[in-house]
Amino acid sequence: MRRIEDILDNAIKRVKNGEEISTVLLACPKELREQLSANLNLIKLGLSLPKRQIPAPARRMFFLQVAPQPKISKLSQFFSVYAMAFTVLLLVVGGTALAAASSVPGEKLFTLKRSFEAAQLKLARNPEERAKLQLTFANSRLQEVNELLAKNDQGQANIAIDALNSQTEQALSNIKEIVANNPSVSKDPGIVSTVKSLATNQAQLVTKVAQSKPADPQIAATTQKTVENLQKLIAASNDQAAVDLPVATIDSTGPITALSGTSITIDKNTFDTDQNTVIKDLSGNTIDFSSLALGDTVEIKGQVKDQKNQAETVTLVSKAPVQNVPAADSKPDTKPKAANPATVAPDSRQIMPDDTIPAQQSQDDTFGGFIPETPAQTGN
Amino acid sequence: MSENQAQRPGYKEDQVVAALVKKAKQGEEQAFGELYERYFERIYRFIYFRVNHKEIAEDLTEDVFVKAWSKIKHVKEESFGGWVYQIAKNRIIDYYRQSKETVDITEIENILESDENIIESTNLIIEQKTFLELLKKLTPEQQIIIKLKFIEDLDNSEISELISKSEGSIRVIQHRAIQRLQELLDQHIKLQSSSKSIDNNLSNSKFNAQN
Repeated sequence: MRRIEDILDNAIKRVKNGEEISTVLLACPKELREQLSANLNLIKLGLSLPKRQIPAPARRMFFLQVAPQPKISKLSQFFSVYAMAFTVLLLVVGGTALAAASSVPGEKLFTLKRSFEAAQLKLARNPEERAKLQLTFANSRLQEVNELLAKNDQGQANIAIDALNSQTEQALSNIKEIVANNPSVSKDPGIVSTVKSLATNQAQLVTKVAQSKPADPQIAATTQKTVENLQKLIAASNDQAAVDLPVATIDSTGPITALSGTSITIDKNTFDTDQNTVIKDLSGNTIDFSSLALGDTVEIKGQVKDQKNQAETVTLVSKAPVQNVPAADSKPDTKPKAANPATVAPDSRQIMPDDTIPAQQSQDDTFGGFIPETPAQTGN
Repeated sequence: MSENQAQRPGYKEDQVVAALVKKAKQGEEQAFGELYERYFERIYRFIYFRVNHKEIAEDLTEDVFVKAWSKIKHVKEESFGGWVYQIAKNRIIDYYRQSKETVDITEIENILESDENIIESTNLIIEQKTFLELLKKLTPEQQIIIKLKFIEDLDNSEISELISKSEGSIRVIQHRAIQRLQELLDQHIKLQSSSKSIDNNLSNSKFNAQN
């Protein structure tokens, strides 16, 4: 036989779930119904007490986002409204929050951090706030990439770069949407300065990846996308001089897939040569451009200038066997062997030249010069 | 699974939460994300009413979930709700310890008791005011259980974790508290009706005297 305490508890649960007292009583022993009826009416009175409305949590994970950032003063300025609260929180919130905030891909807390970010985005009050969050998160992704590169964890670094690219694209897409609806946002110093800072940091990353050893072709390939995003970020900030990009270096090794005029193509990367380019063999002897042939394996070192890959040195590593030399209009089967991480240079074919810009876009600056598709559209 | 268990209100919800906890314990972050979505508002409310500050409540709530995630392997599937409340309670205590130079330990220990913040006392009808008045006449233990259960909407397992008593004990205390409240209410009504009849008699006799 069930105890009165259990019967009452069960009845309370049903009333709390919204069932009518009369219905709930039908399931109770007859001899207890009178007493239970009085009890449940009393409970209903307790449940009816008006609860105080509380402010909706709008800043979920705010602390986690900002705490690990190194430049607190800038952040405080950026989130000036929250500066005081931030200082207090910094003092009172414990180490586990920091642990999640500083987590990187591959660590257990990282996904928690991402899920909290998603929740924070969901709660953003307006598109501007959402865009600022996206930019903040993109900077977090960047920091994670740097940490993983420092740990020499190339597998996770590649995942992190992928996440950075995707986060940057989301941020750009959000800003584009906002500016389309409200061009005055393009003057928002908060967004503009964050875009600039993100562009500068990404440019530094590109350089760092280019310089890192040993080479990882996967990272190099992933970083290609970062370079493309970087161009968009520069365009978005609409002030290239202010971004003051460092020069990105490029280092690529592989069989020549195309030769045209003074340019050499290795897989998807095309390099320009000029009178300053040193072309040599493995012994260091200078050779002519004309002695290079399709299929020859070369190592090219250079810089990214004006969105083009400028070769500084071309070293002929090995000549292509005669029988394997492909026809001039076909690609060799051989994949580039190396793609030093430095293979970060923009594929010239992917940077939209002026003549490929849709006429409508180039004539009509929909976004008030804030987010043009390519630098060519900025009018700068 | 017994028939009674299956018919118990909230049984399905408990099963869903237990399944999510099981997955989260195996490292499935998505499952923990769902638990987070289910519990965030409730834990936030619980903390907010005790720190009375929006930003701090938000961040303490976040801290609670970060801690929960990092310790998820140690929790029993069926105890998750109560366990998260327990973390929240400890986090609030830590917060007061860290943010105050001198701490009144009893103030911290009574962290579960305060209800002034929770009820919108300006809009109470007379019956609700009576309920709150009578509640104060219960033992402290009974008061806490009634407040957590009916004002803060916690379930027995959550209360059990918070006040470190078995769910069976919670049911017994709850039953006694409700019976006691019922007695007090009956007495109150009797007292009111008798004072009303005295008032009526008084006014009748005044009326008769005047005529």
